[in-house]
Parts: sequence; structure tokens; C-alpha cells
Amino acid sequence: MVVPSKLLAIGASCVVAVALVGMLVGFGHPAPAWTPTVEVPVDHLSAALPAVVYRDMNGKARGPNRSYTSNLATLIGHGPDLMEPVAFDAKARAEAVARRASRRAYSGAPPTIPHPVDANDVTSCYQCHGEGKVIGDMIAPKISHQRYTNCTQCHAPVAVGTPGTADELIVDNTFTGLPSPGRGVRAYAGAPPTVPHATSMRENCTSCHGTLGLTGLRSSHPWRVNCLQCHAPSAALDQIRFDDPSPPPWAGEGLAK
Amino acid sequence: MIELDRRAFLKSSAMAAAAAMILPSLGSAAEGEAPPLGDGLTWAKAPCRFCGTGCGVLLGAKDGKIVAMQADKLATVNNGLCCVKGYHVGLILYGQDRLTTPQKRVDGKLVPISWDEAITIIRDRITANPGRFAFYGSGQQTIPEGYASNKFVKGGLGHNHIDPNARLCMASAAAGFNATYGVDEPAGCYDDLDHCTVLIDWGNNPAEMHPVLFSRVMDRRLRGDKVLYIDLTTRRTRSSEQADHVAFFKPNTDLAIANGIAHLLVKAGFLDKPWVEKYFRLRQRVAEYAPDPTKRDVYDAEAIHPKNLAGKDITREAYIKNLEFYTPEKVEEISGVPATLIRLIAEKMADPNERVLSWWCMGPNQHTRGTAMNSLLHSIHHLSGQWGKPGASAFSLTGQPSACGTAREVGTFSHLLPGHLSVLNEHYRELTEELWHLPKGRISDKIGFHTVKMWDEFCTEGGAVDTIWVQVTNPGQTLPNQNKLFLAKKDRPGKFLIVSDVYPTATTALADLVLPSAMYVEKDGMYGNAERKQQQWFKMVDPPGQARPDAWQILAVSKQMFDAGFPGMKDKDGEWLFAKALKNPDGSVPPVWDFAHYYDVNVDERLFEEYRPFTKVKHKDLAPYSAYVKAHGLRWPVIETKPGVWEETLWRFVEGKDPYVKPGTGMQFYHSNTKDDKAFIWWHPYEAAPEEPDAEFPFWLCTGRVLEHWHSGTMTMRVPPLRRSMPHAYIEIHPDDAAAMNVASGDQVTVESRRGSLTLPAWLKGRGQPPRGSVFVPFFDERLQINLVTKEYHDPFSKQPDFKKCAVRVRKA
Repeated sequence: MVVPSKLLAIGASCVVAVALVGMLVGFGHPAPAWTPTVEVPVDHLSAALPAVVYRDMNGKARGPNRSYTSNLATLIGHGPDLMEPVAFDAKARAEAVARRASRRAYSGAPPTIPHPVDANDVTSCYQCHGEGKVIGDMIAPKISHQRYTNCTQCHAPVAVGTPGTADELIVDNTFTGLPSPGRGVRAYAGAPPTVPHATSMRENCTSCHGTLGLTGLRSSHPWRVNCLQCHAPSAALDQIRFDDPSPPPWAGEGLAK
Repeated sequence: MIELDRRAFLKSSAMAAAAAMILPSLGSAAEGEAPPLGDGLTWAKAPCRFCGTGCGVLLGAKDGKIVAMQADKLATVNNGLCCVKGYHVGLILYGQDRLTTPQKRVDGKLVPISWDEAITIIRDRITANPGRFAFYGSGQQTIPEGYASNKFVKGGLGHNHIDPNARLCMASAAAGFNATYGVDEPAGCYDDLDHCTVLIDWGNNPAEMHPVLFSRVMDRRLRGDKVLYIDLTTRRTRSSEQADHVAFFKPNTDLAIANGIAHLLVKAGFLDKPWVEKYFRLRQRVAEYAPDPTKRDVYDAEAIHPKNLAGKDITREAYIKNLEFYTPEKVEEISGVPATLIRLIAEKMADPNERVLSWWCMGPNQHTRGTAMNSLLHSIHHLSGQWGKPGASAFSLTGQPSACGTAREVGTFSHLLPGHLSVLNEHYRELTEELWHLPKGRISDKIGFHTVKMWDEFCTEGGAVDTIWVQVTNPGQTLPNQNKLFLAKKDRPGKFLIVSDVYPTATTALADLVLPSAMYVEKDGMYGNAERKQQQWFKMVDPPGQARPDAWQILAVSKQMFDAGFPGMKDKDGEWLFAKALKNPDGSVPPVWDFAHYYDVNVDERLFEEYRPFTKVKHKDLAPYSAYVKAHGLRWPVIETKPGVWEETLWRFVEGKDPYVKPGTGMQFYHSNTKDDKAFIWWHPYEAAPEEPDAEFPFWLCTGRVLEHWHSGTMTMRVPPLRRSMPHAYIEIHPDDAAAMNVASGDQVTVESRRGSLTLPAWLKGRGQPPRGSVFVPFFDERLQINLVTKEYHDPFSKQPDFKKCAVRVRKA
């Protein structure tokens, strides 16, 4: 019996896909094949958040994770499984949106940094945010945009290492920021939704929608890597603007009068 | 009302995490579906309100409020990236204590009055003694505002007692350009940042003060470009962290470093290079005006007449002989910069395959030798040939959004007329009288009071200034030596201070009359940034309460003075001073002095179009207003290449780039001080600062800014994300100096000079790290004013005070 080449191709694709998924799953769950013969010392340094000068590293508890340092080895997690089913959860989504909003003056604002920063260089930032990291229930999201060299240019730490009393605002500000844009639109039930926000500075969708994303914002299919293949961004939101060319001479001729 | 506002704020603001977590959604839009194109906001362009970089921002308005911002991708300055201040610029409108009504001080308290009463008070105060009135403006006034105030004083009052806060900011840069090229402002532009292969900081910290421009270069390195970055600095900063070479120099010794580089270039035969003969003259200052180093305590910056700015020729032999002293080893001894680094810089500058870019900001400007240092920076680039090619340039950064566009170009300095024309030049005075339709002789030929002098006269009993009107600036925090130049006003009952501002400040605290102003996108405006780029914006939202634009305030006072018969407010035909500028095509004058009719016409456009002809005199041609409405900024000279097509100029004085350079010349300095199309290579010696540390006051004090706050913090300290990030001022001390005083981070420390003292917390190994023997304090915090300690020593030519260095002692409080 002759197998149609189309079916062959599909079959071959399946094999490749399964292999690829297997590989990714493998990455997600390192098999316990290697057993250390000596106890691995607790790695204090990789918990260095915020980064501090070398001579101060010993004995300085620091950052939001300072209470975790004593048992760090058990806390390093791998994030959710790439293939773990993700169901839409309106409550989780609302919480995720609120949490995001708490760190932004308005939708689209660069988020503030929720931990102290007492390093002036960007390598400290990349240590966690370069690839993203989960420690316990803390998530250090992967940077969502191309690499830049001056993180604090746009991201302000909410609590700085300045000495003295961190006083409250003396003067309130009545600014009301643009809220989260909500969900993208679907042309029909089952159609892929559009991207409801600008993609500029958010080129890496997995930063928020990947496996390290907040529950409620995570994609149901994080193994797909080419998001904009199906989800259309908005030219207007992305500031893609061209002068409208004059309409062609035949414009409107085919329209029903 | 306040309580309601606060609740509204908590409910929907992104700041209120806890509240937001309880509420199921953040408002109706949160769970709705986004519109497929756009987000229902009205978006419009504006330059950022803050620094001189001039980033393009898009502001989104909904229901009469600004609710979002984004960086403008069509703006060539920032190409779609802002800094944290720019991303929060819209929040500056919404601090809860906006000034919303005019107020008069009665028995020590400010009480609300009507606009009519306020305008009448000003009218009467000026009319009673116009010669003793002065106007203190700003590099944050829009171009039309600056133009209106300039015409009001110089055309209407017939004297030149108007000066901008830009005197504190970039007067030395302007004097350096004038001394070297005969005309102000940079020849290069930000595009040089995309082409340079070597970048040198001269006492600046661009990672915090010009972060967008800093990233523009540093990001090139991430993409694989090789850019050697050299940081010459007086303290370790965020910029230093990314530099290939960091060298600390002792304050004031930057002149020695520049001379060390010139020394090596001369030794390498660069005086014989063809360009030196063809395009440049060797120049020195007029000797008798050299400050006397033995009399530094009575440093007399007023002794030098500005006509001597252009100096005189120096022979090649004398130039070589003067530089003999500045061997790299000698320079290392003076400045502390290693001789090897001086050699490296000279080698890079000597290499024709490199494109060397020097940039600087307040370091060389706020400097008692500021004009000289600015001139030397241009000179080493001229000598080495690192000039006139993309990436090879000497670029002066500015601190305010329209220090160039308004203060320098509109000429709100006490020695300038619009178009950066000198009041000392008879021809320019006549031209101004002609363009303003004034009787001959109206424009005074006497230079008015510069900033330090103006406030000194105001704060001195019997001084020559009785009334000052301040707009868009906060001298009660930003003038040096506050006790002498500002706080002394308290004990001078005859003096009257008028302040137009948007929030209560250290200046309104002593004001006798406070006027509430509209700010930023609550009014139309135009700014001009550090690379000669004009940008325009339209009013997007209404100002709160009775706040009104600064330009309206000036027009209203002027019209009332005219109505009362004040002769200066009439032009030569007896019409109101501003009538011809504002006229409708049918010849009628729109009643814009009546605020109800202010927006009947575009006042900005009409004032701007009257201003435009001035800009052609020094080849700073501006396009018509309508061209700026369309463009996302245009760099002057802007030339109409085809009817209706306006093209900007990226590089001046270079053939093929600058339309005013004659073909075949290669380079042409067509405003040369010596009228021979040549610019200058200056000789200036290094000299010690007027006040240096001694046994009694052993530390250097440097003052400056931080990324999150802009200048006196009036706006940014009211923006929650910025204020939370940097809540208050501090003093940076070297850990070893701190240990010697038994001071740890957070301890209160008193810093004291011969003028005043301030107590504030120490921060060791903080944002910046000064070397031993020096301390740093930022000036943004109105509660911790370091300008009580600084000194008004200023440059003899530019009259710009030196905020960067004075002698202090420091002790644990």
C-alpha cells in the first residue's frame, strides 16, 4: 500500500514535534540521574538580591528573599511545567492584573522595582532577570524587551537604599492611570485574540505569558514560540503610522451605491 | 473635596496595590474587550517637560485628564525610549496642592484674590518705578512665553533687567561657543552618538542626567559596536560603572587635563596639520583681565567687559611655550588623572580612524573658569581634527527643556535680544526696534543685571531692584548662597516678589503675590533642545481652577499698562506693544488679554511668527509654526528646499551638511569673531579655584542631581513612583572619611561652609561615591537645601555661578 506523501509528512512532523516536546519536558524536569557524593553547600551567592559590594556580601541579609537564604537549596524551583494545562481563571486574572497595576503608574508605564537596589551596574539585574527565575513563590520575570544597558533609566526602585527615614509622600497625587486594557478581541468564537497592548518594550511575550508568568496571564500553550504568528498586534498601539497615501482612482467604484 | 479626590485616587490608581487587590477589577475597561485599534484615548505629541535632551513623548488623554504616556517612536532624539521621569511626566499635573487662585500676602499670610486685582497690583508696582523692576525667567519658559517676557521688558520697559535661570545652567557653554565660533550653540547633534568610537565624559554623569542619550551610545556596544568610554569625573557614578577608564580629577583641574592633551597633540606635530592653518586661529584671553590669584577672596568677576570675550591672537611660539608646562606627568600631579590616561586620550584624538566625541554638562559650565573650559574643549577637538565629521565633535549638553530654544535663542538673557543678538550692537538694536515697530532708541544699550547681580540688588537694602517677577523657576531653592541672595528678602519690607508657579515652593514662601500658572500640556507650547531642535505641542487638558498660562499673564499686565497710558507699552504708532504681532488678517486685534478670549486665536503661533525673522540674522533659521505642528522636531537652520518642504540641518559649518557653507570651502565658520571664517584654538592656563579646601574647611563640596528628580523637585517630588524611589536628599561621603568621623550610613551629618550649614543623613557607598576629601549633596530636596552652603562665585564672562565646588567642613551632627 502506498502511503500518501502528505500523511508521511504529517507523521514525520509528529515525530519531530514529540521529540521536541520531550526535549523541552526534559529541560523542565532534569532527571535525577546524578547523585552528588558530597553535600552541595548552600549557594548563598545566587540569592544575592540586591547585589552588594563584594566585601559586604558575607553576613548581610538583603532583599525580599532574605529570610529564604538559610534553606535556599530547597527553594529553587523550576516554574510550572511547560505542558501543564492552563485553564482560564477570571479571579486569578483579576488578581494578576491588580498586582501588575500596583507596580505601574498606568498601563504601559515601565514597572517599578519592588525590591531595594544598591548596585549601580546592570549585571546584577541580569543575574535574575536575564533569563527569569523562580525562588519559592517569588518570581523574577525575564526582561520583556531587548537588552539595554541602563535598567534604572526607566525602572525606579520603590524602596531605595537611601539612609534615613523613608518618609511617606507629603503631597498626594490625583493622577489616575490608564487601567489594564483588558483582553484582546476575537473575530469569532475560537479565533486567536488580538494583542490588546503595545508590543513595544514587550517583545518577549513569555516574560508575562510564559510559564513564569502570573497565574491568570499565562498562555494555555506556552510551548509555541511565535506568538504574533496568530495574535495580531495593533499598528496604532505600536505607533506604526504612515501618511495615508491618496486613494487610487478606482477607490469606491466597486461599492454598492 | 480633598478627601473625595483621595478616594478616587486610591480606587483607580495603579499605585494602590492593596485596594486594587480587594476590588475585583480596576474599572470598567479592565474586563472589557480592547478596541482593535487604539485604546480610546486621545494621543498627542509633546516634548518631555524635564531636561534639555528633548525626548518626544506621546500623552494619552481621556475625559480631560492625562492617563498614559509612551515614548514617541518618530522622535529622533529618543526613538521610542524615555527615562523614568519621561514615562511619568503626565503625573506632574496632578499633585494635590496645585496653585489654583491668585494670592496676595496680607499680614504674612497668602490670601486669595481675583485675577483682575493681581494684574492691577503688578501694573501699579511696575508703573511706579519701571527702572527698579526686573524679570527672572527660565529655560523652561516656552519659546512664545520667553519671547513675550523679553519684549515686555526690553521693548516695553526700555531696559534689560531680565535674565533666565539658564544663567545658572549653561551660560558658560554659550560664552564658550561665542568665544570660539562667534555664534552660540553646538555644531553637532545627537546623531554623533551613533557614530563616535571614543566617548569622553568631562565631569558629567549621563547615566543619570541624560539617560536616554547615554543608553543610545551604550546600547551600541551591546549590538557589537566598539566604543571606548572614558569617564573623567570627580566622583564615581552610575556612568563610571560602564566606562572602560575611570579617572578622578581634583575639582577645577579639568583645564590642566585639556592642556595636557593639547601639549601632546602639539608635540605630535598637530599644529602643522593643514586644517589648523586653514580653519583656525590661535587665541588667548586679554591678559589684563586675568583673575588675580592672590586676591581670590575678593574674586571680582564683574571686572571683565564682555567685549573681551573674543580675546586676542597668540603667536604659535607663545602657544607652544605656554603648553610646555603641561606634560602628562605634570598634569597627573595637578589633577590626579594618570599620565597614561592623558596619553591614551591624546593618542585616540590623534588617530584619524577614530571618531572622538567629548560631552559635558554642568561640570565645565558651573565653573569659575567655565568659559575657558568650554573653549578648551572645542579647541582640543579643533587641534586634533576630531571635529566636523559625524561622531567627531565636542557636544555641550543642557539641563533645561528650552535653555537653548528660549533663553539662548529668544535671548532672555540681560545682554541679548531675540535671535541671540547682543544689546551692545547698535545695528541689532535698530533691527529689533524695526521688527517691533518701536521708536528709535527704545532698546537700551546697557547690559541688564545678570542673575546673581539681580538677586543681590534685590536682597540688599537700597539695592537697585525693588520688584522681581519670577516665572517657571524656583530661585528660593536654586540660587547659590541662599542666605545672601534670597532669604535676606525677609528683612527688606520695601521689596516685592511676584511668583508665577504651579505648586507652593521655597520661592512662593517669600512671595508677596503668587499667580497660579497652567503647565505643560495645559497650554500650547514650543521648546528648543540641546541639539538645536524646536518642538511644538498643543494644549491637551484644562489647567485646574483659575490657573492660566504665563504668556497670558504677561500680555494682560502689558495691556493694562497700555490702557493706563504707560508710554513704553505703545509702539511708534501708538498701538499696544503686542498689537501688531497678534493682529487678525482683517487688522483687528483679538482681545486675548481677556482670558475668555485667549484661545480664540493661536497666540503661540502669532508670537512665534513675529520672532522668526530675528532667527535669520545669525543663521538660526526657524521654519514656520505650521511646519513644527507636523514635524516631530526640526533642527535649525531649517531651510525651505522646495515650496512647503522644510529641511533641518544636522551638522553646522561643514560643507554638504550646512546650507550656509560655501561650496569648495570644506568648513566655514561664517560668524567668526575675526570675520575671516575661522574659529579659534584657545590657550587658557589652569588656575586654582577661588575657594579651595584649607585647614578650617577641609572638604570639597559638589552639588548635583539624581535620575529620578528634576532640579528643585517641585514637579518630580509630587510623582509617587519617583518620590518613593528617591525620597530625600543625603550627603555622600567616602567610607574612610566617614570612619574618621565615626559616621555610618544613615547618621545625621552637618555640612558647613563660610556661608551656611545643613544637616542631613550620610550615605556611604550609595548612588555616587566621592573620593576622599570630597562630599556630594543633591539639590532636589526643598527640606534639605544645600544652596544654603554654596557660594555665588561666578565666571567672569558668563556670570554663571560655580555650584560644583566650595570648601566645607563636615561633622557628625
